[in-house]
Amino acid sequence: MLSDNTKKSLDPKLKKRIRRAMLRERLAEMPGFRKAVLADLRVLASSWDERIDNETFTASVIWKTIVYCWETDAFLALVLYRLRVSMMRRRIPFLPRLMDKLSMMVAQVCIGDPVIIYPGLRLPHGQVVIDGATIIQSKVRIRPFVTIGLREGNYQGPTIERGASIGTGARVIGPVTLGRNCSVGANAVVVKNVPANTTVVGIPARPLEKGKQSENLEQQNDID
Amino acid sequence: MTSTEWTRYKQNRREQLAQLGLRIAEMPGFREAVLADMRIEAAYRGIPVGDREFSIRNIRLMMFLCWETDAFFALLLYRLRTSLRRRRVPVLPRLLDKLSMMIAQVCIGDPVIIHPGVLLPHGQVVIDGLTVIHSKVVVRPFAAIGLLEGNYQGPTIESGAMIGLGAKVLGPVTLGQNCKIGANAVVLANVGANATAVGMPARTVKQENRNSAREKPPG
Repeated sequence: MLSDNTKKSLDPKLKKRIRRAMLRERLAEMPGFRKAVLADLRVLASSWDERIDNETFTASVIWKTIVYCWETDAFLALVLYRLRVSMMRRRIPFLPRLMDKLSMMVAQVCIGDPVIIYPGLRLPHGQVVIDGATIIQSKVRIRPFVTIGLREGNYQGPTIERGASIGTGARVIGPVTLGRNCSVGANAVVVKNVPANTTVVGIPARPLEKGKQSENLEQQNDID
Repeated sequence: MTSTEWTRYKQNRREQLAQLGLRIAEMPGFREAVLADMRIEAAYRGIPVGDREFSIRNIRLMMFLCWETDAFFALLLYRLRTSLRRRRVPVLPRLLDKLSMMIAQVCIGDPVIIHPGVLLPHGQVVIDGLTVIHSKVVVRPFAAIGLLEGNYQGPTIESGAMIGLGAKVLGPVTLGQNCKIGANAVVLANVGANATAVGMPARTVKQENRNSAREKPPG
């Protein structure tokens, strides 16, 4: 990483090359298409009270994927995103951007290039914006109208750990960490770190009182 | 919500899907619904509407509104979708759903009952769950009317309610007649009739004592 002053003094072509190198580094960390889609499918199926036992990408899994793409609001957009990542990894030109536009059209899912999403994300209705050097671990649920993004002048985005659940219309901004199994209330604005197993609400987001917390925790553990 | 309740919900979900058929029977007919929607939308834009029939003039007005406004087309597609589903037409209803999501980002779930005459000024709403929306309700953009984790019962919104920009109405709550929900409010408890609720979680800040119904359609 370079300091801000060096960045400013660099010539634009070199800057572009550095940004590309960073993107390539992040792309290497992103999961493969089959693994990611299978995990997404599992997470979706478990919330629909169904089970998928297959470990590999068989014909029945492909059929299930197609069925879910048709039945649900945002699964198609998620699959398009996974496809886009795998294309970017293979250095296919032009098509990844097209997939991005398509997923925006289908369910308004805008996910930036440097975002790393681990296998197993749940988007109930789409309509989310995710951007910046953000990491989203598996079994995270992101509800509609959520924005996970950057602060002005800082390219480091949030890190959202396993099992977190982000409520409708919440905003997670800047280089913060959301702990394991935490949950963010509707319309909250998160600008500070959230400890594991905690519920935060409000603007700016603060933890709920102890009594309400435990109730929420029980519910959380049950889902995962 | 305890863990046992959550398990029960999971067991009941299949039954609830079976109930979907019953809910579809409760939904309004296409012509009635679309005419009421058109009247509300036209009143919002100050266009006079003459008759209450499904006449050529009204159909032309509908086409005009579809072209001119942001979300009327999406609402019309939703109405078409419920009527197709009632006639048990395969494939097409889901396609219309996807279309209405593309056109104005209006995601309305299958079991939602929307009575005739709803105004969506700009689209971009999410409505899901066992939700009932009565007539003359205004739902502004970025509003979400939906569920809390583990409970499939959604809100009931009574006639004349106004849901502000970015407001979230979650869980089995009832919004009274002619109530107003402020922008970015998060409603987790019942709101009385003629009340104004704002904040996170929403609290009633103003209560109007008005017994008479609203004379004008909202807008």
